[in-house]
Order: sequence, then structure tokens, then C-alpha cells
Amino acid sequence: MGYVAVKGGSEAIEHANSLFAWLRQQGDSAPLGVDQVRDQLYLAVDRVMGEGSLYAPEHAALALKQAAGDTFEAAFMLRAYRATQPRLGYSLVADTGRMRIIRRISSAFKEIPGGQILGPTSDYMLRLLDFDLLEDSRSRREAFRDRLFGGRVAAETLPDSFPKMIEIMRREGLLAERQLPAREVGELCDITRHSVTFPAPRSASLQSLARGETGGLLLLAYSSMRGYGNVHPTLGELRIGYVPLEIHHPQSGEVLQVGEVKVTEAEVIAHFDSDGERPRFTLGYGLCFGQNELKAISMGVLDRTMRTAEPSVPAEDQEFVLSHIDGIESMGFCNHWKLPHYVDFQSDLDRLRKAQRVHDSHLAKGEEHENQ
Amino acid sequence: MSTNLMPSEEPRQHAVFRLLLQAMCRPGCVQRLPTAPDEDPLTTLLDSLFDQEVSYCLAAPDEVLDTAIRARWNARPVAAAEADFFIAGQGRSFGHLEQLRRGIPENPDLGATAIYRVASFARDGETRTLTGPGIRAETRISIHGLGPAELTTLRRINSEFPLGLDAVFVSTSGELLSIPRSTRIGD
Repeated sequence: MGYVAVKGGSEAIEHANSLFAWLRQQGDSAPLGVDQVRDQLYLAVDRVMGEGSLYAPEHAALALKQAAGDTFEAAFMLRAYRATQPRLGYSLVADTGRMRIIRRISSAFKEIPGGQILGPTSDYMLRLLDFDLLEDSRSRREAFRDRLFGGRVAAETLPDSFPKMIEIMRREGLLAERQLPAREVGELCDITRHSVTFPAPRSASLQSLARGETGGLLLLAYSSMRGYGNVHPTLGELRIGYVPLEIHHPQSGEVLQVGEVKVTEAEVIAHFDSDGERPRFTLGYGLCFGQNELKAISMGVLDRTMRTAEPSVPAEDQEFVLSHIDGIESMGFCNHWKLPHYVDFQSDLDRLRKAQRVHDSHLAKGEEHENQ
Repeated sequence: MSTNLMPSEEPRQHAVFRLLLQAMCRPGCVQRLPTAPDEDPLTTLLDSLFDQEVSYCLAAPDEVLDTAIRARWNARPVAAAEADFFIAGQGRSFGHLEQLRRGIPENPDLGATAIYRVASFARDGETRTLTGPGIRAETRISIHGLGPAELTTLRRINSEFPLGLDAVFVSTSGELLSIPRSTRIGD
């Protein structure tokens, strides 16, 4: 090991912790309730749950409060908490076709069976500061709710689920066939139990992407969209909603629904492959906890780029992508540079001084030579 | 908003796990488990270690213990050679200790943990010396209710560190002592 334990400084460290807690309590504003974070900053909560890979809205809200809003730190805490929890059971595979949908769009076709459902999104808002929010009060909220729902009856009940666009395209022979599920071909890998080795099976790759850091995924996917690679994605379907969480009862074996998980799913249609066979579009798949559309789309793009036969750019190189998208790993590595590296640096200094001496002596010899 | 995000049993499980870590890094030091008056100390310990992912093997058939483990933690009973945990409820391994997983050089962490239920650690019996990491010079232990050959077998199995077994001993009164594989057992 190249590390030397550095001792001391405990008192200074305790003060640093206290000062951080104090700064979080600065000013005269009312203490921030964890329920407020959960309800009013729900997109941050969703992001932290996805990156921390634990679906626990209240714990994620607590982590965000504790981390003073830093999503990296909050995701780190959530993942650490996850590691302390016993595994009570495994859920059954959730069929996203049964998703209780709150938003569902396709950019491939205008008219889709079941219709485009815009749902809750900020996509169509102007990015202008809304100063009315400064006057956010209970009475204003009630008035808003009245305007939105008051006196209105549900015009039609929404169906329980919607047909999936890609299934329709598959039936028409436009899209590559579904891959056999990993569990059927015996390559279902659990990256929380076995570290990923390369080349990684697709199950490991999708798991890594699903807990990847949103910004990291976006950066690599964006590089491919812009031209370092050639995935120009069309969103076959982007859907957000709740999938049932089901388990086998440990004693009776009966299937039980124990809850719902909010997810974003992106099915990204990319350029077609022929390989001598009848040409068909290929598909990239993205799925993550909560509402995080950038992440799901980026994941879908990367899932497709990484399956390029001969990688030529970073986004197509599975090892490159999967080794750099984990937020907890990348932040941990970056943060560790703040720890003492006194010995490393001493050795760098030694080498610099030696190089300087060699350089100076060469220079002196050169001058002597010129003077002769 | 539920204000109780932490299940009530969790702090005790954390405390027990800390005690186990302490026992492992101070081999031979006796720790006291926070066992409830009518509770088997083995249950207190297993509560912090077992869930349905864990596999176990009992040294000798014990229907009561077997049923309890499956009902409480839903852990998987397997053969000795596959078990994560080996439980010797009567302080004897009945020859199974040799069969337990010792890990492989790339993954010494795959070595099993053997848990013995014993009578006590009273200092009046036959003693053995322990040396190694976590022990200042040397310590002496006395384990009552442990099969006479167990420690000698354990010493032989643990002669190829980092491969080997970690052993944990729980007394009926709720005391805990550990001999991890890094510890050398003397005479």
C-alpha cells in the first residue's frame, strides 16, 4: 500500500463538522422539514434515490437536508445506508407495460395509440424566474388547486396501462427483436454483490447505468449525440409512472403487491443494423428511479452506443463509460485529493529538484562550450 | 411524514455488530451482548448477521434451531462446504470444521464463519494462548463447553492465512469472544 496513515487533527476535524452543521442552520429562516424536501424538491429526491440506488423518498430527503443540498453527498449517504440494510427479499420482475402512467410521450410518431400524455413537466415553460413564487402561501396554494381541480369532474377515467410503442414497431418488423432476459440465459449479474469485470454482460451494464450520476451519463451521451459517435436518438417512448412492487410471500409463496416504485423509462430508437439480415432499427434502453428524464434518455443512448461492434469513441467503449459514470466513485476519487499526500508530493519535489539540477548543469556546460 | 425512519430493532443490531467487530479485532477479549432476559444470546448475535441471502449449516441436526433460523431470517440451509455460517449449537463441530469454505487466494473473504455456543469463558479451566494482530504480546483464554479438539483443528485450518475460518464463541450467559483467522492459537 502506498498510503501512510496521518494521525492527529481530530479536534480540528470535529470543529469542521460543527461549522458545517452551523452554516446549514444559518440565518433566521424556519428549519427545513424533511417532508418539505420530499414534497417540494421531489426531483432532487428522485435524483438522489437513483444515484444512491435505494428507493426511499424520506431517507433521500433527509440525506439532502443533511448534505445541505449537495446531491453527490446525499446519494453517497443513501448508498452507504443501503449497504447496512438486510435483504428481506427480491421483488418479481416489474413489467413496465403495467405502469400506472403520469406522463408518456413519443417523438417518433404524432398519433400514438393511447395518445401523447404530457403530464407533469417543466418542458414547456419559459425559463424565466417566477417572482410570484416569492409569495408562496397556503391560501395561494389553495386558490391554485381550486382553479386546477375545482368543480371539475374526471372527464374520462384513464386506462390502467398503455400499449408500448416499441411493441407495435416490433410487430411490424421495424425493430430488432427483444433480447432474451439475462436471467434466462444465465448471465444475470448483481453488481452490488460482484464487482463488474469487462466485457460486462448487459445486465451489469444496465445496472451500472441505472445508478450512474445524471451529469456523467448526460456528458457521455451528449458526446455521442453531438458527433463523437453516431447515435442520433429518436424517442420511441418516454414514460413516467408507477410500477407495482411485487414479492413472493416468504412462507406461502403467494404474489403480493407491497408498494409502487416511480420510474422513468426511455426507449431510444437508433440507426438500423443489417448484418446481412433484413435491416431493422435497434433499441437503447433506459430505466431509472423517480422522474429523471435526462438520465433515462442518456442511459438509453449509452446502452445503444456501448453495443457498437467496434468502439471508436469514448461513448462506445463499455469500460470507459461504466468506469466513469458512478457519482459516488468519481466524487470519492476527486475528494480524496484533499487528503494529505505529503509523501507523494515530497517525492515529486525530489524529482523536480533533481531535474532542475540536471537542466542547470547542462545549461552551464552549454555556456562554457559557447564561451570557448 | 413518519418521524421514525429507523426500524426500532436497528440500533440494537448495529450495537451487536459493533461488538462483534470489537471481538474480532481484539481476539480473546470477552464482550457482553445486549441480550434480553428471556432471549437466546445466539439469536441476539444472528439478528445482526442473518437475512435471507445468508446460507448456513448446523453442526448437528437441531430442529428447534433450524426452524427458528428459517422462520426468523429465512436463511438457506446448505451443506457444510457451501455455508457462509456454520453453527455448532453444542460447542462441537462433529468433524464438519474441515469441510467449511476457507476462501481462495483471490477471495479470502469467501472463508466461512464458525459460531459456537459454549458454556462460559470463566478463567478457571484449561487455558490456551492466543497471539497475533490485535493482541498485545499474548492472551490466555478458557472456553468451557467447547469440544476438546476444536481449537487444535481450528489452528490447523488457519495455518494458511489469509485463507481460513473466523470463529465466534457465544456463551449461554450472553458473552462473546472471537478467534479470527489471523490469530495464532498456542498451547
